[in-house]
This record gives sequence, structure tokens and C-alpha cells, in this order.
Amino acid sequence: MKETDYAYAVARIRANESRLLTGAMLEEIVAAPSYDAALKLLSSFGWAQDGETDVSALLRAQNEQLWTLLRESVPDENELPVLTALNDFYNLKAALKCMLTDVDPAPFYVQPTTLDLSAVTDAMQKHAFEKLPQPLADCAKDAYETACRTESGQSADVIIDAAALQCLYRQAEETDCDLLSQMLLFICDSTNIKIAVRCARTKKDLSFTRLAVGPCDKLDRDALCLAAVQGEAALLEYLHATPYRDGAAALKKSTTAFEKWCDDSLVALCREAKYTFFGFEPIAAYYFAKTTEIKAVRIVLCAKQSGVATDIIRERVRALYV
Amino acid sequence: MSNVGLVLALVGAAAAVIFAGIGSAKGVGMVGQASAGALSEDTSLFGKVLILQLLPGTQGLYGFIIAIFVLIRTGLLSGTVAELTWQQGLLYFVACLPIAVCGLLSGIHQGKVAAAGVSLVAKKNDQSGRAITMASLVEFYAILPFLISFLAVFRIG
Repeated sequence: MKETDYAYAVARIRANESRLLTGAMLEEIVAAPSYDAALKLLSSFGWAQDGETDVSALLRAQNEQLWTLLRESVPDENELPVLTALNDFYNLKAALKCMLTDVDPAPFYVQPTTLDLSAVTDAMQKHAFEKLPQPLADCAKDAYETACRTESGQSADVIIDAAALQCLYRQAEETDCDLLSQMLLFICDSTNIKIAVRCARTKKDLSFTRLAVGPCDKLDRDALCLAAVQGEAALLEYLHATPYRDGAAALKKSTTAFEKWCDDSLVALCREAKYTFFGFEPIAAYYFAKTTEIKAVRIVLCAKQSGVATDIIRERVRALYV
Repeated sequence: MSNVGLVLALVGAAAAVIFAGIGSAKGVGMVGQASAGALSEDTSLFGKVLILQLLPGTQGLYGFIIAIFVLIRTGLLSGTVAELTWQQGLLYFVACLPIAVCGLLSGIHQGKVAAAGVSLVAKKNDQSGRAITMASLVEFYAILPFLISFLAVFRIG
């Protein structure tokens, strides 16, 4: 695909970028005196329908709009799965766990996804893993067998998460789009750090940690696993000596601060696409920018619903693309 | 062999139309795609993006004008075909090259700038003046070879 083949898509994306929330708009929503006032503000910014009060429905509608826009815009829909790979693997985990506990997985699926979710549910319930698309099929069978053998959902999670990271890493290596590659590799590294932290906090041994941590870009995988086994302090010390020094500082404050640092860093990467007018970069950047915006709105609205103080919400709100 | 001069002149005219036309077609096509994307979100942008789409179309027009002048100078349009030596034919051919080559390349590049301009207008619709100015700057490098081809065709005796 030539970069200029994306002229139509990029023009549509640019038009939609002008409708993204700005930092000032989000600050207004954060400062709103109540949940209803926050919803009214969102409505005035064109984000919500007048009278909409259900957060889930609101966020679902935004996700659907985003996905419809991308599907209609890109010259080849086969390029989109790279953006939803993590959601696809998450949905696989949901399907597997619901199958094991005999629960309907539909409410647990996340959007957007390129998977036919009813087909995934059907394949999992019939144990017909080969009917799932690759690379889900292989890891689904492996995760199912491990979960049955160990009677532990965590083991299945580890297998699926590791497969997701391997898939992202492979796609980062294969894509011709430099910025997308950087974004995917950053997601791999930041996810690996989160996994390593969890392993350190739950005092997992080296073999488990090695199984859970996926391929890394700017981190030494072996050193990360060893540091995680030695404890959280050793892990922070190791991270301090890597390009993720700022992330280590955020992690030292709290996991929430680190999550925010990850999202903010990803959006900072996305901003580079503002100066690109052809190719897949602006589309990928818009996807990540919009999903971060949706996440920020969810955090604010849920906090408003629960009556969380404005200052605390402000600490957790993500940086936006615009 | 007496028609070699005329053949060379016609090859030059054809090159001016074909290559400059390809440049324009690619440029206009690219901006057309971007314009369709912008219009699918906001139909009120039609006037602004139409100007941007027209800009890469001029190269094809310049090539066409040069080819017409070659046909006039060689008498093909009037029906009185001039006797051209191969040297004269070669001169016509060479005279057509500036607009043929630069028309091709500037058409494509102007199309890229104009398509980027459409994206700019789609995001900030008050920036159409700047987008048109930026795309127009590429036009300069289509006008220069057009003038050279034009003057050269007229000076060949």
C-alpha cells in the first residue's frame, strides 16, 4: 500500500481530530460540580446526546463511532487488527474464563475488536479452538489445557498475555509504519513492566516471571525478570537505569501514577503523527488518541458518580492528544 | 526519411501532453481522494477543497498548450505541413522537454502538498488561504519550464 493511498483516510481523520476533546475541555468537565453537570458539558462538546445518563452506553457509542470511522476510512481493513490486538486477546481471556465458569461472556467483551465475538464464544464453548483466527487459536488451546491441568485461571491468563505481547512485538517488527512500530514496542515494554511489578509484589519465582514477561524493546528481558524476582526495590533500581526512568519515578509514587504515565507517553508518541499527511501513522495515532480520550472521560465520569474529590480526579486524568 | 524532423517535433508535443498530463492526473486524483474524505465529514468545505484540487491540474494544461503551439508551428493544424530538417525537429523535441519532465514531477508533488492542504482545511477550515498558498508555490516550478518551452518553441525557425 502506497502512503498516498491514505489521502482519503487522513483527511477524514483530520476532520475528526478537530472534534476531539482538548485539555481545557477535559479540565472543565473535571471541575464540573456534579455528574449531571459533567454530562451536560460533554453534551455541549458534542460528545454525548442530550439526556444521556448511562456512562457505559456513552462510552460504547464512542467506541463504535471510532471503529466505524476507521473501517470506512482505511483503504484496506486488514490493517486494522494491529490496533485491536490487545482487545482481541482480552476477549479471548473473557471467553475462556466464562467457558470454564459456565457464564455468558457477552457482558465481559471489550470493543473495538476485529473478532466475530459470537463465533469466538461458540468456538470456545465447543472447544473448537482451531476455528479461532491465528494467533488466538494456538494460545487458546494451550491456555485451556493449562487451566484444566492446573485448575488456575492465572496460568491461562499468563499464557494469553504472553501470546498477546509476542503478537504485538511481531507486528511492530513487521509493519512499515515507523510510528506504529514505536507505539507497539512502547506498549510491549510498558505492559512488561506492569507484569514484572505484579510478579515482584506477589513474589513469583523466576520461571513464572520468565513465562509471564513477553519480548521487550528497550528493556533487557532477562534483567527485568531477575530484578522482579529480587523484589520491587530492585526492579525500580533496574528501571531507573533504562530509558523508562520517568516511568520508574511514577511507579515509585503508585501504580495509578504509572498507568497514567504509560497513557501520557503513548499520547506523546501519537502527537508526532500530527505532522504526517500520508500513510497509516495518522490513523493509528487517532485510534490511540481517541481510546485515551474515552478512558479519560470514563475515569472522570466514574469518579464524579462516586463523589471523588476534584483534585484526586485531576491527578488521574490522562493527557490528551489535542 | 524526409519526415524525421516532423516526427521528432510530434514526439516532443506528445511527450509534453502525456507526461504533464500524467503528473496532473496523479496530482488531481490524490487531492480528489483527500477532498472526498474531507467532504464526507463536512460538505461545506467543497468550495475550499475544489480550489486545492484544481491546482495540480494546470500542468496538464501547460503541456497541452505547448503541444498545440508545436502543431501550429509545424503547420499541422493549418493543413500546410512545414518541411522540417531533423535538426529542427530535434529542437522542437528538446523544447518540449522542460514542461514534459517538470510537469510530471511538479504535478505529483503539488498534488501531495494540496492533499495535505485538504487535511489541514478539514481540521481547521479557516486555514484554506495558507493551504492554497503552499500548494501554489509548487506551481512556480511548473510555470518556469512552461515559459521556457513556450519561448523555445516560438524561437525555432
